Amino acid sequence: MATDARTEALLQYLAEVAPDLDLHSYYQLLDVPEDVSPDAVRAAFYQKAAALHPDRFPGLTDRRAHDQLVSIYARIAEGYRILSDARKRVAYDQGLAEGRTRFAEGEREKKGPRNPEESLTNEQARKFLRLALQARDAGDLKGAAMNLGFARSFEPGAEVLTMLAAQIDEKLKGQAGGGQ
Amino acid sequence: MAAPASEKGSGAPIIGIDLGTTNSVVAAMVAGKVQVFADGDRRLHPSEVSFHPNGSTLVCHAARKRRLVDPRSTFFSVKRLVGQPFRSPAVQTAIARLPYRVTEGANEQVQLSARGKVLTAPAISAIVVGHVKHCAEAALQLPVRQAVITVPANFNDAQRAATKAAGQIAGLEVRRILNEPTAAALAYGVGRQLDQTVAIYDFGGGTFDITVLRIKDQIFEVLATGGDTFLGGDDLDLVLVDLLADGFLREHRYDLREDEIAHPRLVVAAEQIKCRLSDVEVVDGEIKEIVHGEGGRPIDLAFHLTREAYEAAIAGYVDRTFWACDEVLQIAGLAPSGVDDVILVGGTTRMPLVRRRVAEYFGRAPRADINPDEVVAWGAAVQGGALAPTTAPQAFNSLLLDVAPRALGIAVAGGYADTVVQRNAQLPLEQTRIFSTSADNQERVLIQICQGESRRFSENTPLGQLALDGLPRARRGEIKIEVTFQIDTDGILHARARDVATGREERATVTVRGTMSQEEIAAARAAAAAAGTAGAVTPA
Repeated sequence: MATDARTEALLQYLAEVAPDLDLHSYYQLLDVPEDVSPDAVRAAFYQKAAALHPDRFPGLTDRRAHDQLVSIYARIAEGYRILSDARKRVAYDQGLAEGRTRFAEGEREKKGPRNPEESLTNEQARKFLRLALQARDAGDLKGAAMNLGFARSFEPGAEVLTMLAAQIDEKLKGQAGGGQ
Repeated sequence: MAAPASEKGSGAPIIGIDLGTTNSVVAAMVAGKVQVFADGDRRLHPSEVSFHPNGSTLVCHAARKRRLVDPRSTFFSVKRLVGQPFRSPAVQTAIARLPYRVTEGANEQVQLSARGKVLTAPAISAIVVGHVKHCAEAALQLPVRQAVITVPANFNDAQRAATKAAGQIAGLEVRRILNEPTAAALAYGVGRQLDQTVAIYDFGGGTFDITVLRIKDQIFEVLATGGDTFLGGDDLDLVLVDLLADGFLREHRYDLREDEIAHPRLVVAAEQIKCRLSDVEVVDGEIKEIVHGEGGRPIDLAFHLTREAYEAAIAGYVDRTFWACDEVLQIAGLAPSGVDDVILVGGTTRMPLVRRRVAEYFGRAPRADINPDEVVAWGAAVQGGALAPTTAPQAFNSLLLDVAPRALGIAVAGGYADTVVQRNAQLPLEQTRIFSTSADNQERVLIQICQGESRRFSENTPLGQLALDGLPRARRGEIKIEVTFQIDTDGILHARARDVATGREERATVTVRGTMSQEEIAAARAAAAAAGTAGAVTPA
């Protein structure tokens, strides 16, 4: 039995889009103009989903084609989600003007700690870190080292404490060297 | 147009299985209609397995009956354990209430044992799956090879994988792990010209889920889903157990909850009384010889329970369901009045109190014409029909667009989590991240994975880890590996990795805590087939 026309058309579409998926904007993948209204985004997505959702091709046995289809479909769904969110869409449009075709979801909410204290979980460790930083800023390096020692006893593995301790140690050594 | 007979399946439909905490239901599309497969005249199959001292394995109704006299060798509510690491709060809470023995096995897996047999939770569930598969085969007179199995929308990656394993151990190819509320929506909307927003209020034996969908032109788009994994009908049974036990305690100064024999009987009775109270205002009765007093004198437990008193006792639990509704509607950007129809799923929704409170909350009465016990299996059967390759897409064009119920993150420096997948993002989905080595000549990178929305890794549920192996030797930071995280339409996580500079595919392995490896599943499948517990297949 020959491959049916739908599968044939799909394979051709995959061959066109899959190799440079990252060069397609969400607008291109959804086949909509860049000034599209939110309602039209949904309508376009429903049309794409009806035509391209992997469930529409239960007989597609070619593993590679299936994976390509999932990648492309997932990107189209991502486009629908971002373009349906007014704030994300503004951010996406700005990025797109600079050539970024994909909205970096993690970027905006990058989970880096806002200050060193936030990366600690133990309340006591936080308190002593605060005291250590105060001492350091006041020029009292020995006081800073002592409080850091306390903080580390409450949260031994904390990277931020290890790093800070190393910095202060170095400064202390520098002072000792300078004094001789 | 005659469909050509396919080489496998030989015309048997893909069955839909609602593998419930308390009961299971099995159905399939037969000649364009949903057929529910009964065991005798009973359409609900208790999700229970009992090991008899004579060496036989009792399943479903026979097991539930056996539980009354042999609670320690009868497994029930296994769904509360499946796919959960042994030390998780969910498992520890469940164990405290379960009369059978639960221990820790390899990879933090839960193990259940009775009468010298030790099985994983999926292997026990597989016995139930095998039984319902057998019911379908008996009715169809055909061997069944493929199934769609439903899970609560709230189930995490490991729980989905474990449910899939249960189907595989029973000798089935699991074509889809389908969310129960989505299945209910499918059963409700299939074949109808709808353009509306519906809420599925699913209050089952073990969990509560609320899901909001938009249905248009046979596209079922899940807008948001959420719920309370620690709230189910079982909890309402326990409230009734307390009412009964407290009464007995006052009268006889003896706590039945502490009694190994009486307590399981009380739990079974409470469930029946709860169901009775949905139909009548007052239940009077007694449980004969619940304990033996001084000199072996039997004591009966006499009770008089009113619906009013019971409703007052459980009102707080029912209120909790609406906290989840508030949250999910907010994510969907809707007010309760923006929902066009409310569909009830799960036996707990038979309670008049629940129906009243749902009507108050949404400002409209829920649909009364849908059987809350069977609707999920119906939907699973419909989805089975849609996934059958012989079905022309024009004839069966319903399409589900479901979502990831939870956010997925990876550990980054400083104890933080980087959210790779947002909660309620549509499936299937793919996200990529770039990782590099942190030491010279590092050949292996391990990345911790968690589920949850918190910024702090430790406040989320650790899911497992991703290992990148066999990396080329180079100075630290020189190797850049692009990892693509994919969540498939079953809601299960996969990962693949690529060297950014060379484009070479690298090995990426996801290991999830508390789950069976592919080898373990294959071994359990072989063992089940040998023991015949997964339902003997009559050759075609």
